Amino acid sequence: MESAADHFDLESFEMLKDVMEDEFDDLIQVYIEDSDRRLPQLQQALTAADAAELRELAHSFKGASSNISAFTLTELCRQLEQAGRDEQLDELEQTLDQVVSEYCWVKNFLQSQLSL
Amino acid sequence: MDAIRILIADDNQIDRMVLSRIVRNQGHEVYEVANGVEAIEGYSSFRPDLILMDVMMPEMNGKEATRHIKANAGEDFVPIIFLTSLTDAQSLADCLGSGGDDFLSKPYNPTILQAKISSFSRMRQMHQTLQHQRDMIASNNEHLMHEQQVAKAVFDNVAHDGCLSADNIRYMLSPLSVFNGDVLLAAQKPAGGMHVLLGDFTGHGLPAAIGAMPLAEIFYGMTAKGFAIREILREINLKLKGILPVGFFCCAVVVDLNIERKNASVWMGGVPDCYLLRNNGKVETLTSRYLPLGVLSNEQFNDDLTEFPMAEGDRLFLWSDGILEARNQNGEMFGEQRLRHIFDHAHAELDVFEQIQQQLAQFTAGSERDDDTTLIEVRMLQESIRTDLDMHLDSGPLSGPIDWEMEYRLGPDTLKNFNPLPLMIHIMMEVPGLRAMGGQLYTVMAELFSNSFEHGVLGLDSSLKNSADGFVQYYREREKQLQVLQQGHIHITLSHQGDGRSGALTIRIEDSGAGFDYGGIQGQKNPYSGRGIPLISQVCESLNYLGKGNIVEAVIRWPVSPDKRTH
Amino acid sequence: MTVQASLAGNGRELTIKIDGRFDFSAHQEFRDAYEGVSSQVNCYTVDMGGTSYLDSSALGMLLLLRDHAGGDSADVTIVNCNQDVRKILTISNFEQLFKIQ
Repeated sequence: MESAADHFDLESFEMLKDVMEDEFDDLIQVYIEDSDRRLPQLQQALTAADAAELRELAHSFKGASSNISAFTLTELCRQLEQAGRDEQLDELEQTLDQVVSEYCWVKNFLQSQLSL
Repeated sequence: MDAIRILIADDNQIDRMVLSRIVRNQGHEVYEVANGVEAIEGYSSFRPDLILMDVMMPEMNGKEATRHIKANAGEDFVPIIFLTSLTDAQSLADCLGSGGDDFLSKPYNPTILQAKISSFSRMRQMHQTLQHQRDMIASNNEHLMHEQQVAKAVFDNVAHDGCLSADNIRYMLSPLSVFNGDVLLAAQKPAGGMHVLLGDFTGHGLPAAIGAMPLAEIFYGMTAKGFAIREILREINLKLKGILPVGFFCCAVVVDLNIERKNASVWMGGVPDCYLLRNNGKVETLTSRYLPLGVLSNEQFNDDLTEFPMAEGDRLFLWSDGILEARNQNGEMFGEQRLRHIFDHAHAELDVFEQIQQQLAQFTAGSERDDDTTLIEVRMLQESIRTDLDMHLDSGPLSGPIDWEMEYRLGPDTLKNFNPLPLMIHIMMEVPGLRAMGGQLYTVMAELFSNSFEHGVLGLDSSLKNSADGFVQYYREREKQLQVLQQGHIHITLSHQGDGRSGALTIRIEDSGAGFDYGGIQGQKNPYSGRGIPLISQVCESLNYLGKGNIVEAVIRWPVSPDKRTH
Repeated sequence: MTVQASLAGNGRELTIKIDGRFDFSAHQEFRDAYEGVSSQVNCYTVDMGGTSYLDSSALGMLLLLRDHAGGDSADVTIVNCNQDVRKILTISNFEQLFKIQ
């Protein structure tokens, strides 16, 4: 049975909530909107074998995910970024799939954290 | 800590939101931009105290933006903290190499960020304090320089060149020498000849210069009034002793150049050996015999002079220790031997003064402070330099007192302790037409007054002065009588009549003595020889004794007629 | 440049030794050497055995010491001068104010 701790650094996450206070919801919304937009872009970059674009997108996604303490997603993005830097795009489909599914989990979790 | 202004440059909105919130929570003011170009503009307009800079941004990356901003900041210190997810040492080092001051990794920890902000804020304040202090020092320095210029201007007015530009003088003096304590003065004596003073005050800067002013004032004032150099020395010593704190003094060499008698009387206290270079190449050494000026009380002060006969063309070379201590690039001093060498090898064609200048210049070339030496050459002349006052008398009426009379009565206590001659001369010199005759007036007054005083009031017998033994006895007797003087008086009356272009001064001195039989010796070939009168008859139009012989009246007319002009 | 002070003779004789360059930088230490000492002292010795150089501010300091020690009635002796130091003292005619050995 998965727990949030497998995906999130919960201590950090709580700290983030404390810091952001009333802006927490906004932050989460922005993250979700950005990420929703970014995923298809990542796919396109990989399909087009555009290593540079892939690297940039992965870097941004990694940074944002790190900020919200989703460490697993952050690590997966880092792999994408590294591959883009090394221009080793073969066998990256699998990693991208993992990114997509991890993001799904993260998105659900985040939405559950929004105040209603 | 106090609120500061923070610029956040990051292309990622999430990052900006989180950072901005953290920083605002801490009370600071935030300005957000999304790329390097906006960061540069943001720095100019927002003037942040600190910048959080993302490394990878579109348009212009963080490192490039940092270089620009640091350049724009110039002297100011604006700390820049890179926001990075880079972890390898080389990349981090590169960031700092481009001008960044620190980095912050994700996820952003508010506590760490706060600590860094606080630390950089302290650094920035320290930097600003340093800048402020530096600016204050620079400003103070400028004020000091300005004050020195003002002080120098005042000093120049007091210690005007005097006769340093006379034909028989050559000298080397740096413009700010007074701030090194060096003073060089030369003044014509009213009766011809000159006084020269080279002084070296202890210390540097304004304290050294301050002593120079009263010294110059006394030197020039008293010389112009006909005072003897020994009296001037005493007055200067007294003044400096009075105003300088213990431990401060003025080393000096003072010369009374007597052109008529062809000699130089010298007083030296605390200065290194100076040289007298004769026409025939012989070098005589002048050595300091006394303590510097301003050390001893006047009771202990020794004003004895050493006399050196000087033929026409003989030269005195005077300097302070600056010349010996002039250093070359290696720190070696010019020293006595090098200087002496120039003199020992002097010959007719060699210009010693120029030699000294050249060798000094060569020696000190390339080292700092190579213009600190004070040097003067004084040459004995054939005859005194005439003053130009004679010319001016022909051109129209002059200002100054023309018709006046004054009476000065001196009782025994005053006669014991006070020399009234300078004051009398001073009054006479107010008449422009008499100024050229200062020395002669002094001679006349001195002779007549001493006659009245010594023979009339003290009752001494002038015939004693005819023999060498008698001379000594005379002055012993004089001292004795002076000590016990209880009664007697001298009345001096001065009066003057004129029309602005010519005039007559009448000096009348009456003493309380018994007088003498002047009627009996009139008509003799050498009347009044015991009283030194022949000197005076050259100057005076007439000289008469009145009453019992205790009143003498001399008339001096100006301008002096050609056959009476003395040299 | 170092300044050392030592008392002898039941606290009545003070010897001040100056090593190195005796110039303005010695000012405070030199003064402290004689000012901080008890007023029992009536005899002063300045030992210049290790003094390499003397400038006019040092001469001034000697005058200050003499003033502190009673001015004209002061008993101040300067000892162990090398040739250069001796020369400077001679030019300034300081033997008229101090005993120099």
